[in-house]
Amino acid sequence: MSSYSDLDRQIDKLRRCELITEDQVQQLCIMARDILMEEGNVHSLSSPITICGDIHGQFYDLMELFEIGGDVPHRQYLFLGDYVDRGFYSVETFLLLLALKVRFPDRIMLIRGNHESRQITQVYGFYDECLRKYGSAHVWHLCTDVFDYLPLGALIDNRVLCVHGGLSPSLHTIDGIRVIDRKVEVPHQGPMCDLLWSDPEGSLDHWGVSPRGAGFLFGSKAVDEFTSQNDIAMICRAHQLVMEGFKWHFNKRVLTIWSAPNYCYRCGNVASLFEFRGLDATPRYQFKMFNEAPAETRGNPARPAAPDYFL
Amino acid sequence: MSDSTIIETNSDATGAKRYAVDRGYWSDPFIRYFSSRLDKGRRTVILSRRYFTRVHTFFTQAVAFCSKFQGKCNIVSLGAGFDTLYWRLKANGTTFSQFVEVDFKEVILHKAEIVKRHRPLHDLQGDDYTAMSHDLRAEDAAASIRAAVTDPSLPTLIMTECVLVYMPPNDSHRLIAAMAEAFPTSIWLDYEPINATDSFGQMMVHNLKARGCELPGIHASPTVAAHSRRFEDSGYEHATAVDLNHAYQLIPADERRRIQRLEFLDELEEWTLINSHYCCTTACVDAANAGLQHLLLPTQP
Repeated sequence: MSSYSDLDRQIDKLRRCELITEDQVQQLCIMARDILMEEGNVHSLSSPITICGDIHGQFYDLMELFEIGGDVPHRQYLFLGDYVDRGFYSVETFLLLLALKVRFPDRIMLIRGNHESRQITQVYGFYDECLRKYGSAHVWHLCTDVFDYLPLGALIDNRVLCVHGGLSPSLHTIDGIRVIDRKVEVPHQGPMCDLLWSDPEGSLDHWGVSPRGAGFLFGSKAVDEFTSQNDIAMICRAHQLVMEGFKWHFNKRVLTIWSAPNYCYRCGNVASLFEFRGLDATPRYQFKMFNEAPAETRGNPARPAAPDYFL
Repeated sequence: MSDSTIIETNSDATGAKRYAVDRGYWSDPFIRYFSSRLDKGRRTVILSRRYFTRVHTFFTQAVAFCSKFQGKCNIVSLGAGFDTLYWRLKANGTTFSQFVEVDFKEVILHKAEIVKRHRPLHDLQGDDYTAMSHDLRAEDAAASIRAAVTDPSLPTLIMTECVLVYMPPNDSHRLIAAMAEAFPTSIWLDYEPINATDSFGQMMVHNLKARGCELPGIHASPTVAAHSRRFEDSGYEHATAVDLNHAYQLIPADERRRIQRLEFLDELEEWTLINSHYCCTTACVDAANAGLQHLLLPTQP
């Protein structure tokens, strides 16, 4: 078992966007799994807490995020998933977050996004990146095994439910989420899939077919019923690119938070953090907005040679 | 921006098309002669779907056009690059009087060499195929193209895919107006990026510039409406323009369902966002009253 000083050295290395060794990854993943295994499907947390949406391997923008939001362990963080794929540094991004999780288990919370999956990472970049950076798929296997242990949600102050995607027509209670057998690859359908894939849809009352081909669209009445039945004030989720960094739905009962600025190095969007300070009569919170890290702080390549535009 | 950077965009496009064809997005037995499988790594699902939309739209328009005139018509492809439309139409049994491809000399020569080396291409190529090199920015471009066409009075389909955007607006206006005169019964099918002023568009211009790729035409025709206006202001009688989201909806539902099953698209927001930055325009001038207006892209799905 590594000591904290070993771990701290690895964290320093990862913060510089440098790789740790395959053996260190293996150690880290074993320790992470032991910690995550003890966390429930819906992990209970208390405010104040800073909630972040998708990161997608944009390592230097994650550094920007910590710059804006304050560092771990001084601030408590909840990340809503989608750490990998799309960006150039999925490996460094996920390993840094995982190392921080192992070092400060009560100060950083990582839940599962739809990209924390074997199938999706083989299409959207994380698998290829592991091969490129480590020369084999071993690190990918280690990381995707950890994905299976990530919680599916978090509950803040018993009143704010946080998931990556949204609600499921087959889940009426938070207890229903708690009894899912989560330690598997993300299924193609069913409640666990829906929590990671669903989206809010303003024009719907209850449920609609998702054009993504996984999860559902959920409407205002589905939110009404779930929030009143479970006595929660709001649902905080990520999963959808919003150009303004965050977006309220259904009269501020659902919030989308997005934390990957200039997504895929080409979308031109801003990102945000949701600093939640608690519920009195009304929720107390603040959004912090941030842009992509300045070019001079980025490594090489700062950007893809040509993000795929039509030419 | 150097012409060689423009020419490089051709091999990018061909490689991306080859990748999508290998995945089953559409059938093109000829693309493999123009792009080796090993040229580059994985392409994104969004890119393949966008090329599918573009290729499907151009192929469908070309077939509809040729059928309407039972082969008594011309197709003129400006900045054709390594496009395989000629061979796909021939293999499909679609007929036309003449198919003219215009591009930089370097591209035309390279393409001719590839055709010569591969029998399936060579065997299909007939007297109805003409390749010519010309700089489309030159003042005599339209006149030279007209001179290469046996019967310019026939209904003529003119195609430009991401071509006009590389031209200064004065040059593209002049080319459009001169083509309208040179081919008085013609329909133009054009494909270009738009909306360069919003945050996605600014980033697109920035990223392409960083790659040495300037788009001198992008600000002159910033919107879908500006694109149809450009043709209407330059000698074309009617024009319709739609963004790529709309163009995708014009594809038959069963075909859309088929390609949606090929690869999983995870990011719908990005797909919609990107598609809103590309525009498909059709415009016609119809001296012979050939009914070209019926071939314009519908603005309603």
